[in-house]
Amino acid sequence: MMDNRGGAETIRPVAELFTASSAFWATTYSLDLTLFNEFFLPRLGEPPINVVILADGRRLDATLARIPGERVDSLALVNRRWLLRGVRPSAQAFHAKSYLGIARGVAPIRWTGNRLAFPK
Amino acid sequence: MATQSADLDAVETFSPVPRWIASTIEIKEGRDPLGLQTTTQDRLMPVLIPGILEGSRRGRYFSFHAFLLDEYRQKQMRPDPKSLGLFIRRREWDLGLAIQRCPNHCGSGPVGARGLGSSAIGPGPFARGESVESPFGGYGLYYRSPMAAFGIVAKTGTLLGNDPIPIDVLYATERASSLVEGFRSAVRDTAYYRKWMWTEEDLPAAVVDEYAAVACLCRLRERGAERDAVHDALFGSDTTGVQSGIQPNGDKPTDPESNVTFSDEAVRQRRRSVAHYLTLVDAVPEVVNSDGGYREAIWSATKALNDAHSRVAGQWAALVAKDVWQEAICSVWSALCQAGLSHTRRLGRGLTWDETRQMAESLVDGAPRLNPDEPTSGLVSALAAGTLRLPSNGAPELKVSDASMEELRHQTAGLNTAPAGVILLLELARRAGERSGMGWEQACRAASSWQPSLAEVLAGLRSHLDRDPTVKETIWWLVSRFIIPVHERISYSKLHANPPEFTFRFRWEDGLLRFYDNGVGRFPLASIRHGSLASLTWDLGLWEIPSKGDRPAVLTGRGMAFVAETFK
Repeated sequence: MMDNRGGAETIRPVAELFTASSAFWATTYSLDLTLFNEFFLPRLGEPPINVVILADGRRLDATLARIPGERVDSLALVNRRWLLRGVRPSAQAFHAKSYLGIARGVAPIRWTGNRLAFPK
Repeated sequence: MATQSADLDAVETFSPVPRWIASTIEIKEGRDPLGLQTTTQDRLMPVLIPGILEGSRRGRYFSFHAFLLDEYRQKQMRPDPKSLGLFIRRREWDLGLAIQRCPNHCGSGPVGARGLGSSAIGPGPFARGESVESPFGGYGLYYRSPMAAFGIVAKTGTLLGNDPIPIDVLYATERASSLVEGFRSAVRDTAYYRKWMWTEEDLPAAVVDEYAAVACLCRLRERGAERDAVHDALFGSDTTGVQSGIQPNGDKPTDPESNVTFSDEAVRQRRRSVAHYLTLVDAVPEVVNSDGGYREAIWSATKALNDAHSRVAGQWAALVAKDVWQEAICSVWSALCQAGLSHTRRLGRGLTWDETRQMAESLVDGAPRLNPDEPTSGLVSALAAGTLRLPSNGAPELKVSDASMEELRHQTAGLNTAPAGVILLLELARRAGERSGMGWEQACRAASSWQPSLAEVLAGLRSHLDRDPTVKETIWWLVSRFIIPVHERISYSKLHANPPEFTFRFRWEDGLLRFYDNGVGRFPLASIRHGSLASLTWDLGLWEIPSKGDRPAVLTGRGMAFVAETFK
């Protein structure tokens, strides 16, 4: 998935990180739940997959609070197909951004970078 | 320690070098953001007129492509799809040159016209080329699936015994042979066929002009045997079965790609739809050159010749009604996208659920301006009483009850507002309530994977009106049921394309509905075969342009006989 831009190599994190995996662990500040459920999770392949995401607790509370009753079904997979936990490091925000993808039979730390969401 | 060191040595190491991030996702507007065109393209058209695509417009391409496949087989050229595709694209280019130099100056558009450009102008010689950048050229795009559906072509992968065939071939039937001989007999004596078709040299003008005189698309009408062969390809069956010669074990032919396969019922349905079209030409000749006239004639056709005609007329009327529904919801969609993008920009964030509802309800503030708190039943009553009018940009107001369905559809699309969409839907429901019949009901039940059928929409509207909603509640009902959840589901499905496509106009993000500047305009109606029906039936000599009078079309004796035979 690498190509070349102006002499410098490029990388496509979504294509490279979110491929058929046996496990995927991530830490993040914010998390787009619908995007993860509808786009990222299916790219990881069929169950069983060990998927764990640790997100900033306060930010996660705010996100969940804003989801209207009419859209509660968008949470159906959370903590059923994959594990989500809020992290509250005392008075600070949880800003660690790291992704660990374990492809079938291989276990590299694949990426550290931005949040699990479309860019603004 | 020694063991640990050995383990570490075995680990593959690399030097991390910073790299630029490249986007995985392509941003696109998306052609069918609410999943309504697919109802027409994938559900209705294959049933109403199986085997006729919008691009399969010219009858002579059927005999031309059959001729090419036969020549390829006779010359025993390489049996692989790539070589066959190249062979076809190059001969389509040559025919394109000839069509552009037609001595009748018929103005026919060949496949690959864009690539040809002005290549055929001047004294020549003319460079060779390929028609269309597609594996099988125009054949693959417009004629291959139809010819398979007609039982003329066995596509790559069709089983011959237990083995799939490597390339497309013709079935060994009289219908296929007649098609081949029809074209071959026209070009047999040309220098092009005898020599130049098999070279890669530039074509002299004299060669192209000689070829044009016999091979142009416009010549089919005057070549009786070839025209009859094309007619028989579209509307005939093989007495010995389409599999003769290609399926020695007698298995049913299986088309590996298309869901439209040869069947006697498909032939009958194609005949009925074409014959119905001819009755429309007879009643309203403008249908041959006016898309609006075509739609209105389909909707308002009343005089059926028998039950079969009544059934097919009902099917086509329901198709037009589905498009009216599409225009109605498209008006609400377009207004919602514009307002949503404006709100998102002003607030600097997405909208909460309540804000989204308020914004949708405020869409009543468009032409014609409606009272948001007025009961929708008031609009229903006004429509029934014939007192409601639609404004227009520059043109006189349209009295809804007196306007044709096509006028209303066209006016609503021009207004591009949510109130106009609501009025169109209510009027459609009123007029649809007067319709019945097997064909109408069957086509009204056609749904897509994304949207309910027209029958379900109208039933849902009746239930909604039973709750005595206000106009703003009706708009919200449309937005929350047929627009927001549907568009999100469709757009998420596009993210799973390869490469992933971002087609969102809006999506729920972090609990807020965020609108994107990714197109706010209307989306078009899908083709309902206006162009292909008009040109194919002309090519087959089923109607003509009269030399006297101002009628644009009149049925020929052949056309009248076809109608009578189909609906006898």
